Amino acid sequence: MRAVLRLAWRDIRRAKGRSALIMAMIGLPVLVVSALLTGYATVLVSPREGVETSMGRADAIVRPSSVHGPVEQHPLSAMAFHLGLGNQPPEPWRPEEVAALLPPGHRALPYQVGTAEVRLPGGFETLDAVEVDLRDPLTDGMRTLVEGRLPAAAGEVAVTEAVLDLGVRLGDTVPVTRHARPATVVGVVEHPQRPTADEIVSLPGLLLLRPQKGEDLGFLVDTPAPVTWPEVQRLNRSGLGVLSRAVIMDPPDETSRSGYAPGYALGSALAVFMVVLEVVLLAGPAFTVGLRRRRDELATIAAQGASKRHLRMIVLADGLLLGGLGAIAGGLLGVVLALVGTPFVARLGTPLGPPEVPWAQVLAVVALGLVSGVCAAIAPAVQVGRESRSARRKAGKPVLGVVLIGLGLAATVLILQGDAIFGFGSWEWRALTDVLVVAASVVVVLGVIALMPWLVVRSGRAARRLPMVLRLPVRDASRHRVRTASAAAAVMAVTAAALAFAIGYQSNHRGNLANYRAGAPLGMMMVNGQHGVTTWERVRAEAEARLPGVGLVPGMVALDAEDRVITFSMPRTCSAGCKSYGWHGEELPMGDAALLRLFQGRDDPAAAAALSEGKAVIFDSGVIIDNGTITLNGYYRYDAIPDPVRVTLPAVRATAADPAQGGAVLPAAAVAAASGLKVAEARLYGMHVPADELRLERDLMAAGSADLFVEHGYPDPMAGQLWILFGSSLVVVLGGTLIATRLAAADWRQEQATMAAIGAGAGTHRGMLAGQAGFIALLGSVAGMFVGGVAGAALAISLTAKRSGSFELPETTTFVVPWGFTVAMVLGLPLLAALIAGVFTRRPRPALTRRAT
Amino acid sequence: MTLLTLESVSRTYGEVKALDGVDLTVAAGELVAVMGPSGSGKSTLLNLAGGLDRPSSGTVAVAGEDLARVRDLAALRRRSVGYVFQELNLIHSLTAVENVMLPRELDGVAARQARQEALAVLDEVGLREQAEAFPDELSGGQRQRVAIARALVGERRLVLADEPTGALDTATGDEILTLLRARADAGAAVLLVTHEPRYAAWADRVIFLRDGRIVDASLLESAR
Repeated sequence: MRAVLRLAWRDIRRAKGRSALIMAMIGLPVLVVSALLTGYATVLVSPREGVETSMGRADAIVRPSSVHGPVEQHPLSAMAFHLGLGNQPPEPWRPEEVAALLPPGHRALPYQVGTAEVRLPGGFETLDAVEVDLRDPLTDGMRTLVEGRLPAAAGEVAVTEAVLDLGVRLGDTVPVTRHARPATVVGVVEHPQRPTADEIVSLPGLLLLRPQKGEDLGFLVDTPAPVTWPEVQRLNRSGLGVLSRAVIMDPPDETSRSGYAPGYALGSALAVFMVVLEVVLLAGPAFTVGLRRRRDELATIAAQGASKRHLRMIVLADGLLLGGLGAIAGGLLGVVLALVGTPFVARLGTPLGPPEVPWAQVLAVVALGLVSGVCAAIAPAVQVGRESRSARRKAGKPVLGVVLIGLGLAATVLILQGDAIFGFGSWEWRALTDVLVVAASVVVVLGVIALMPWLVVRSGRAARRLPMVLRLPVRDASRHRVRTASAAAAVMAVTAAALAFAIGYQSNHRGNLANYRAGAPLGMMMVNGQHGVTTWERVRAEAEARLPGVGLVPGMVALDAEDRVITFSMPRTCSAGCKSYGWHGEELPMGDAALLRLFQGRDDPAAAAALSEGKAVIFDSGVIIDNGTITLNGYYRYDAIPDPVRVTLPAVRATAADPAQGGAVLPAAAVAAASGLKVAEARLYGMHVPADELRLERDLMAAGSADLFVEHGYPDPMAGQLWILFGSSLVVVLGGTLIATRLAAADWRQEQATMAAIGAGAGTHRGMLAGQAGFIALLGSVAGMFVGGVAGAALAISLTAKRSGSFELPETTTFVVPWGFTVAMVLGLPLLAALIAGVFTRRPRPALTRRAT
Repeated sequence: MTLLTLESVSRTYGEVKALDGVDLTVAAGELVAVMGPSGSGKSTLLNLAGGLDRPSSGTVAVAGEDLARVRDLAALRRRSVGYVFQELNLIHSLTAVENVMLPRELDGVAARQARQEALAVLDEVGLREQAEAFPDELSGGQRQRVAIARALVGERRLVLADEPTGALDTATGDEILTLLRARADAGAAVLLVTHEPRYAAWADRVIFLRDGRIVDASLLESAR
């Protein structure tokens, strides 16, 4: 074995370029994954790492639930859930009730967390709020004082540096909460593990509203003995949620079991498998070519008495060493990069825990890299000694490939029909179908990989009718079928994955789009006064100043006795397959004929007349108008209201500006009359898409309190992702193809001499390299198109079924082929690969018959 | 008609003088053998004659055309010069007939016509039956015959052969020389580099090179 490793090591050092290439191919994915794992572990603050910042020196955080009665909780969270109590009204706890349940001899310090609104120069900001007396030694380690002093009296706060960046200064008095309580900033504190946190800290009673009513109380508790898990469970039975230091340090067994998702595990395993497969397919040709280069050496070793097994070991040792070195280098570099880089990443707003290297996971990734190297060397190793002239042009019957493809397709059909055939009708099964479809497609991919050598040889035979400049590279690629099949299979796998994803999700998006109802014409904006009339005049003036010439049309809102805005929506008349509204589509606009004209995009005298007669004008064809009337539900956006508001109005149908637009326009006076609510102007509508929506919203927010909404149609989150997908595929396709082409060019050097002597010029040389690259990429992408098409169709069916919420297979499936993406993948990338291979090649020297002696 | 003319041709590689003032002509219908020890400049002579290399001084002309004035030497090789080497002669991924078609196709001739021409030449060298075989399915002698067919396809009449029998047994070597002799008798000019006197004996004229100079140029009779 030592001799074998020595031989491999010497060869690696001799062929430095090839060795570096293989090591990079194996090492790069290992580097990326190790860096991500290390970065994630460092950024992630585990409960154990965060125990000081979450509870200081206390033994536990105790948080009473809103209802007295047994609760259930996760061992690592103080959030507790009721057991079978339904929607009971909250029963506030008194602090002495909590104290009575805790062990004798304890000390409890009030401690609440939540969010608080603070009026800053730029408008209202929502900050993380903490109410605790940080001067108490029990809080040691929770926050660090950076400047000034800790809050010591009611009306004093400390803020983090991120809040200073919003325009607050030490010594300022800022209004906090919607009640505008004055708070003086007396200190600057830092969250040890979230350097960019927007946080404000005070003594209890200033920032958070609900604890005043006895809800969301919380305590840091110092107990004589550690709070064990059985003790936590005892407190749970009385209605207290407990986060205990002792439990965090030594969690009970059930901690790791919760949250296990089989779909996620299978999905991750498939992703890892595909990455290893790609590495093996990409690195394989390099080993094959290396083998050919070493044939004389291997023959010499065989002449010294080495058996086939020895020769195989030498080639495998190549893979072992290159895989091992590449993976170790990649793993180490990844870890170092992550440790150096995470503090910079944390500045973007992520938490930052102590530097942590998840060694077990990193080592597993390194081992995977090593296995990839050995796997990539297996095919060439098997080749050793098998090569015979007659065997070269023959590829065995494609039995394995056909069987695997058949199995994968059959599995796909079974998975999609699973409910119907086996009666699996459960949500668990439905949730798994996507990932199972992907798993079945991976089997098809493996089948096509097994089929690839056969395809390569068949293409070579079919090349007879091609022009010379294409025939030659195709024949050469076909002759070196291991090298070609491996690279083409790498292209196939990535094309199949990209197309399946694109088709599946594009189809899903089209389905979602078909289900989407716009609440307003595309490109309409609405300024919404959050607090009804109180600040509306200022918001309106600001909006008119900021949006000159937009043609703003006012809208009305209904207000209850406490001046809360009551918005109205139409009752749903569908159970499954409902069309869903975006943003404010369900909050119906109220106004006059001018507003109706804006929503209809034209004058409709009949609809305008109906509106002025006090009839609701309905655009949504799915809403049932019963006997010429419609009943609307009124609600307060920010909270539940005790008495539901229901209004019945006469209604007519009309056509909206856009075919996909639903909703309605309500007559303000009629709503007021029917509901007994007041109506007032608190909205502005206009056909305008602001260039900078966030900025405009901030300006409006600063003027009073206002939201800005713009109807953009159904968002297409895939558009960007498809291009990211295309970019990643581009890297693999070009990488795989060009590596194989460079290896082919190296193999070709001798034949180039003959070609040059016969009279081939530089153009022929370029043409041949371009042809070789184009052939490999095209063969892979066309095969990938078929696999990806089938997998994409299966995904589309699975996603449609999930969207419809039915256990049955849908009768019609939304199936969308993103043609631009497909053409770019299947034809564009091979052409690009051919172009690059042809252009970026050295002009061959006219070779001499033999070097002058 | 003189197909190849070398006048005072020298070629130096750094300090080494590979050829030194060589004068040589080869006429149509003539087979000229070049002999000499290793390092005497035989291959350099062949490279210069085919335009694979340019002389340091002197003139090389093929079919009356001075190679120094030819811009596209690759085109000249496609149309006027055929090469036969000792080994690495054929493109392994192409069949016999496709190998023979190659220079014609490179010259822009349509594939169908190139194939017909190639089949005709393969017929002449007795390999019509093996036209669709790949090089590694042919014997060494058959491979060299394909190479000779390729060197002759089209209008090419100057054949440059560099040790074409080097890797063959005697009987097969004789077959190849018979073929080259026959092509010369049919009007081709053949310049054959060999170090075996028994093959030189097939030539009309033998020249001996030593240290880059022609030390003896004799007719066939004198060689014998």
